[in-house]
Amino acid sequence: MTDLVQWLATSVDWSSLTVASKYFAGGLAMGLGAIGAGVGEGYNAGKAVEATARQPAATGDLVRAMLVGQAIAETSGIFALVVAFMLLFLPHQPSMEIVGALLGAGTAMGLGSLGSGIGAGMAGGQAAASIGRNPESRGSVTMTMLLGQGLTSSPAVFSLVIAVILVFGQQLNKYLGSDLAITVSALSAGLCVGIGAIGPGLGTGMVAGGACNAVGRNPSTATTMTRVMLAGGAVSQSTGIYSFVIAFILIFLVK
Amino acid sequence: MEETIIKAAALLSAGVCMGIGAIGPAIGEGFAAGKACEGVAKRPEEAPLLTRTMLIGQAVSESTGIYSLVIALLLIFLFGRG
Amino acid sequence: MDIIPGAPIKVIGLPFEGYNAATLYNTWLVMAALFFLAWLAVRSLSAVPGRVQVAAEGLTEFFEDICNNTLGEEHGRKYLPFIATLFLFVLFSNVIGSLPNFLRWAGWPGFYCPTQDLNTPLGLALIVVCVVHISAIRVKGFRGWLWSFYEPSFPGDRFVTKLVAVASFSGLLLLSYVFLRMYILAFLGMGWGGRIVWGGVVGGFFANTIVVMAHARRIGRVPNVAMAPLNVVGELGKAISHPFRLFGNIFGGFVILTVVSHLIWQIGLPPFLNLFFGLFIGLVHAFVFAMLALAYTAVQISE
Repeated sequence: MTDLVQWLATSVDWSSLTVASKYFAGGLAMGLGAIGAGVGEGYNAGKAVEATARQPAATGDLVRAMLVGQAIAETSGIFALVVAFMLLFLPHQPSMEIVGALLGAGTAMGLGSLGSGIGAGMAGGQAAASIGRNPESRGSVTMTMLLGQGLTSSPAVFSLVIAVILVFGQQLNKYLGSDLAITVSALSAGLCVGIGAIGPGLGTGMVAGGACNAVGRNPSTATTMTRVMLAGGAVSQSTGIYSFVIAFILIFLVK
Repeated sequence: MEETIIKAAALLSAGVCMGIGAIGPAIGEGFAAGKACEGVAKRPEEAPLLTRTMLIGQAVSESTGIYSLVIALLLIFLFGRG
Repeated sequence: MDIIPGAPIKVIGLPFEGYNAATLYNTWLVMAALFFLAWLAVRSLSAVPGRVQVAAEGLTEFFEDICNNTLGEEHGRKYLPFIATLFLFVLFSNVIGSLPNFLRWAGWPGFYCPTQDLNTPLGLALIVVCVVHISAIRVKGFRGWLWSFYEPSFPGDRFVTKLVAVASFSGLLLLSYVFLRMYILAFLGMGWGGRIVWGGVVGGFFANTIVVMAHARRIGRVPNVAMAPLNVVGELGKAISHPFRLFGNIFGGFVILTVVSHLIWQIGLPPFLNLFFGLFIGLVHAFVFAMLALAYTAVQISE
């Protein structure tokens, strides 16, 4: 065991591993990050097509609602793109901690945008389905969908914050030694907030989808529904916020 | 040196513990809140009762997430900072 | 991490170097703006309202409706000012960061959201926790408030209540016995402040159990002892997640705006992102913050 730690600190070529890990992490961020946005937008489009088949007269409304919903479902993918660019093109000091931080940033953003993308797509898809069922409700359904998707994006925003902090990690002086614990804590912060964002994204998406569906059935309840949706969705994100807090502690409080 | 590896393992498992532990409760709570929205659409006059029931149910289904939080904090502050 | 530039400022001769100057400046600006708007709205009240009065009345009615629906008529009116003020303050704090710095000529350091500094959401959430628990004590009484941590309780006769009381007392005594040596050693090793705090905690456990068991005999229900730690940690979880939700979203918006502006030099994307994060996410999360404060209050003061 002692040999392992000494070998890691002295005999490994961290400068080339830093370059390798920054490319790997960039690929990880964008590759995993594309899944969520892709699946979500596809689900949205599928529901819109079903609704168009049922109500060809409402095609214009449906396409508009679908495009707005897809544009917001896309944001988590854009976050992943931004983080991937930062990983690929910013200069990074070669050190063991930076390797951990870069891999953590890639994992955080990649996994973190998965849930939010699918969740936003679920909200958009249910909104399209209920506009197809009841085209008169399009105004309140679109409003509910937008609010729900605004809530859905917050797990991805948490991942983004952690990923950006980890990418700029070399400004924290502690990232330039070769300490196994700091390396692992940076990686672990990324894993924590990344995996922890999957569930909240999906859960909030289910809330927003249910609310859009319900507003479509009974448009007069739109304001009550917005309130119930925001309270329920915010509570269902709290475990994601716990992951965010743990990631903050892992980055800033571990010496 | 042994302590370094134990510390690193504790930190890694704290992150993984909170990360994986956050998945289930969040999906469960989202399911509950989605059903509450459907309930409000069916009986709008019962909205305050439904909201309160939803919040209590979510608080209970969040308890496993809180266990993960407590375990992660213990792992960091008891074993991870030595 | 020095993301917000904190220039040292002087307020009536006192240096404010230890604080985040940009946050302080912008918080005072938000408060001034709210005062000014309130003055504008009530300046000339009339039966035929002007534009500002219509907007203010609409906002008040909206929140009055929400508070009355959630808390009932008698409590709703009492909590309306608190909830609406919370919403307005958080909303203005969230959108102020989207303004361009048109006061640069007057030496203004720039517009930053006070809520992107963790201290502001933490302070607001502390206020909410205090308000929620103090109003729970006022509505249900101290014993009722303590009892609410033992919910869901179940009905039972005096024998079962006595059994649970005996069981939880012997559990506490057993725990004290098991940790006695550790506890005494730690107690002797710490200063007087620590002794008072730890003595208070342990004494509080016993006092709490006595009060709750007496209350249980009075109302003829059996407290759910297993739920008590869970409820306490649940309240802590609410208090943690409430400020971090706001902070994470606003700070995330700021981070992505800064990064994108640096990467692609202000072409195209930043205005859209500014609209999305500054106004839309700011509005949604101001509303969410106020609604969660209301929901926590409703859960605590409901019978």
